Parts: sequence; structure tokens; C-alpha cells
Amino acid sequence: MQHLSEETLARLVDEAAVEGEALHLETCEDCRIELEEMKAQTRALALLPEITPPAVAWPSVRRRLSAEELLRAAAGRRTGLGWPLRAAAGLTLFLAGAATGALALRGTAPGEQVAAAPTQPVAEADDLEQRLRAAEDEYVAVLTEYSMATESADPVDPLNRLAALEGIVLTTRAALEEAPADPVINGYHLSAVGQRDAMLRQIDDRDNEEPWF
Amino acid sequence: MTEAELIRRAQQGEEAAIEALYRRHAGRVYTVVRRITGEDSQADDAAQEAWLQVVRGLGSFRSESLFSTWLHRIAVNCALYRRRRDRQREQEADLPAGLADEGARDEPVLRVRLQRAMDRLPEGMRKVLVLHDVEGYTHEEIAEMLGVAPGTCKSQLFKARAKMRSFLRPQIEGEEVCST
Repeated sequence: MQHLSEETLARLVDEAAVEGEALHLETCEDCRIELEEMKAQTRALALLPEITPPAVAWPSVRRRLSAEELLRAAAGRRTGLGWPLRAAAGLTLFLAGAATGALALRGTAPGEQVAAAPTQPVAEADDLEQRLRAAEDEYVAVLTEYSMATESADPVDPLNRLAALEGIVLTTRAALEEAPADPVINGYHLSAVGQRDAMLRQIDDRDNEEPWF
Repeated sequence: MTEAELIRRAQQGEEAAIEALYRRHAGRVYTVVRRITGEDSQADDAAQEAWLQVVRGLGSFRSESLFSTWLHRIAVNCALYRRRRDRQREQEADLPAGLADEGARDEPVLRVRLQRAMDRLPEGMRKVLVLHDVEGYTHEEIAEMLGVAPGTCKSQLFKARAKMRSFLRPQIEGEEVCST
């Protein structure tokens, strides 16, 4: 028996079967199953979640906007959720640095700067914000470099680890919508995004060296 | 602060407002450009360019349409332009054994495999699949964006779905494609 082609089945995901096709589907279990699989694939594609941009994306955009003189600082105290979020991220960096010791912040200024921050006099809000942003960017960059430089003996399948990290990113992002200023959630989110980006690079490098087939 | 107020302030060039708009919509923009371009560095460039165009064009944005709709269309166009400008021969590759649809039990893994299968589609197929099956545009809208006939879009979509199926179909029993 000649089965329906894959392109025909793909069409039947959205369109009604013509008489001959409908008759075939009634009598051919394989084609019915394949059509259901095709529909499930299409449903799964529609449900794919958002992809989190790299942590360094906003600083890059900001630099270009500044270069084109498209930005101006707001007069007076900054309002809205952005500043508390960045303050929380800065606190998280301090806590994360203390917890992981020299690994992520080894020999680098940010670890020392973050550790020293509580003893420094209060500066202008804008200056502090810029320092927090710079510290955040450097933390993610160093963490990513560390992950890429470290030979991992982890036997876990890279795709499974990537999927797990993606799950953490999605979970923490959803949590941030409820509690955007929470320092613990921000810390987990930053770390997960950094690790996920590093994992993607590792997998892509592996793909280039060792073809799948 | 409402989005309308943020937009008004952003139109004045206020950095905080622009950043707030960015934070709200960055995920959506990056998602669509990443899926259309199929590659991280191109997605980074396209997303950055999209935001630049958004900020440059804020003065002409009118509240008759949704900001998110306007922004999304700019992002799609930037991704399409990026692909047209840097077109390179797509490498088609079969995914290794074991990349079958494993259902709800392994949903995160399925998502990753779907994304990587899309990344390996030929460019024309990927654009149509992303815009139709992932982003929900109609064939007529896609045809207008890509400058082709709706019938061509449909044909590409069906080929794309079939190709995705071939990537994700369970491996034939007893046959190993690769070992790790």
C-alpha cells in the first residue's frame, strides 16, 4: 500500500483531507499515527517558550544608543522596577561571590569591589547603578568563561543538562515576574543564564568538530 | 508605570524608560529573531538592530496599534534582513539516534530538540515554519513579509514540517546512528 507522503500529511495538519486521502486514512493505521505525530509536533512548536536574551544584550544596545545620542538620563530620582532589580542583582553578586569563593571571582576586581561595596560611602544613585550594571555584566562574562575553560568530567548528556538549565531559566524568569527585586531569585537566574549560554557554546563547538552522523 | 507612559518618556529619549521597555519586550524580540536566524551571533546582531530601529522610530509610533505588535514586526524584518544579507549554505544534518519525541515526561528535552531541529532546517523552510507554526502569522502575512506568493509559503511550510518529522522521528529499532 502506498502511504500518504510526509508533505501531504503536513498539509492535513491544517486542511481537510480530500476523498482519496480520507479513505486512505480510514484504512491505514501507520498514516493515522504519523498524522497525529505531525499534529503533536505542530502543537509543540506553538508552545515553545521565549528564549532569554544573553545577559550582555542590553549593555550592547545601550552603548549603540548612546553613540547615536538617543539617550538622556532622567531628571531626579529614577523610579520603576529597574533600579530595585539591579540593586538586588548587585546584592546577589555579593552573596554569590561569598558562597563560591575564589572560583567565579578569582583574582578579579569585581569580587573585591563587591566585597568592599558595603564599607564605601553612599554615592549618587546613577553612579551606583552603573557600577552595579558593570559588576553584573562582568560576573556573567567571567562565569561563562570559567565554564568554557573548565574541562567537565560530568557524565550527564550535554543536551539533558542544557534542557535542565533551560528549565531553571524559565522557572526563575517566571518567579521574577512575581518578585522582581528578590536577590536570591535574581542570583539563580543570572547563574542559570550564564551556564546555559556556556553550554550552548560547548554543544555548538562539539557539533562543528564531530558531525552527528 | 503604564506602557503608554513609558512610551511617552521613551519618545523623549529618557534612558530609564527605554530600558524599561527593553526589559519588558527583550525576550519576545530575541525569541523571534533567534528562531528565524537559527544562530546565536546573527540573532544578537538582529535583536540589537531591531532595538536601534525601535528607538530611532519611536517618534513615529502612534498608539493606534499595540506597541508589542509594532515592535514584533520590526524584529521579524530585522531577522529576515540579517539572513538575506548573510546568506550561507545551510547544512542539513540528521540528528543522532535517540532524539525521538519522548512526550511530556521529557518535555524540556523535547523543547531543546525542537529548537535544534529548527536550527538545522534550510533557511527558507525555517523562516516559514517559525513565522507560521511558532509565531502564528497567516500565510498571507508571511507572503507579504517574504515577498512571495501565499502558495509558495504553504509549500515551504509543508516541506518544513516533513523535514522536522524526519529529524525527530524515533530511530528504527536496532539501528545505531552514532555513539557517544
